[in-house]
Amino acid sequence: MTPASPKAPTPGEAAETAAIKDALVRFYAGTRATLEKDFLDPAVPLGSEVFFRETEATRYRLYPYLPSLVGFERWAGKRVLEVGTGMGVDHVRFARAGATLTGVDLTPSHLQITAARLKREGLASRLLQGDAERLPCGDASFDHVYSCGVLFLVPDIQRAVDEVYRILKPGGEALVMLYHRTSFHHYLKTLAFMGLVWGDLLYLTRQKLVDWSADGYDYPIIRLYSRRQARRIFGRFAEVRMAVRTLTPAEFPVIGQRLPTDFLEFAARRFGFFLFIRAVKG
Amino acid sequence: MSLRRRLPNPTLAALHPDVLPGGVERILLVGGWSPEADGLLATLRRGFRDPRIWLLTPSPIPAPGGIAAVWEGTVADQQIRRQARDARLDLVVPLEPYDLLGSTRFALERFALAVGARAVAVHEKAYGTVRIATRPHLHYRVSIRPWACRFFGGLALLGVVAPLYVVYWVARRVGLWRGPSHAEDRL
Repeated sequence: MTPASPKAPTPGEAAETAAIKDALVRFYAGTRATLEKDFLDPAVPLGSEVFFRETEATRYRLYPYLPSLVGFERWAGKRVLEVGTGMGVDHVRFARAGATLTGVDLTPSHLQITAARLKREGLASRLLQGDAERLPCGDASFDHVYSCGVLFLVPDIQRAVDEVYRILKPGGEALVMLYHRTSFHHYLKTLAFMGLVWGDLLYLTRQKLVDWSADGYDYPIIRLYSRRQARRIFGRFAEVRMAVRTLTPAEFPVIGQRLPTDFLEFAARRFGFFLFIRAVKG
Repeated sequence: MSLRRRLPNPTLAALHPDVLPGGVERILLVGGWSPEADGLLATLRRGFRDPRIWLLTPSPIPAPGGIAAVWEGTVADQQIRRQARDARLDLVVPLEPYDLLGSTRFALERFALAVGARAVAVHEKAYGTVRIATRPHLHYRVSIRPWACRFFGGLALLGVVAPLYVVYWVARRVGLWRGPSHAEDRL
């Protein structure tokens, strides 16, 4: 199946897209650590030994299923691209496993942190500043494309997924994490509690509330996806499988800390906030 | 036109001397003092051109540099409320990061409204920034009374969590769910 040629954006859409990307770069330039933001001591200097150690430990403590779900070791000797390297925690795992790595990120500061993390362990990766909607890579050049918590920020996700499709070799696999719409985080915490009970929807738009609740008030824009929407976006792939994970006590006001961890794990399988999509190019 | 559309937009804005009409000259910090608060204090002093800053804290401490006075107590104390009202506060700033669902947030916003403060700051730890939630936000938000919050919130929680908990309990009993196995989590 050949990817359809993308529709040219109108001048207004192009300007809006450029503004969102610019805002993303500015946002991340001022951000210490994105994924571990609530758990990392702000006194820890960015790029220090403690920073690298703690961001990695925190990530896999928060998301213990990640190493197994991603299967870093499976990609030893294969060509892997990570779209949105962020703090470089997963990127270095691919490098340790022996993958031939490329990393793309829109934000220079992320690339610097990732490069420093790799250098500290004597590992290598080709790091490129680039845009998920126009990946700076040739057609059919990767066995695996990995993107965790990035593509929901992209103004045109369909274009980004088409790009992933383009650069994957036939039989190659993409693993993408998006935020899940049908989740406790969205319906219970954000809309029901923050929006209605706490009344934040009286002065914030729904989009701003979603941004604030998910990642911080200044986030340029965050989109959430249901399984059905994700299936449509990845429609041109030969095989698509999905899994939902991550449900924290913070998503249940008052009673969150009293709920058994096992129950949260059970509920996370259906109503968690992270939607993982594994898609295979035919 | 919806209520939201009639409110000033944006109601939250970056830290800046002109974020509130007439500037920000009187600030109350609320919470336990920590080394992190030094950074916040410096940010406030720089951003608002040397405002007068008080600290409301539950345990007595010597006034840190740059703090006009330390008030010992909590936002629930009537004496503190009188003092805060007399101080004609522009801004109330929590020293802890804003908990989006927490009851401390609710208590703080109600306190700010009760003492006539013009705004509450939203302190996002990760970004080292302070955002300002202006008065209209407070005005409309506290129109929802706490008992109503508890009632409808409780109802929502019960309605969603209880049925799912029953499903979980049954799944566990019949062996359909044996707990997560992270080491073998595959997709």
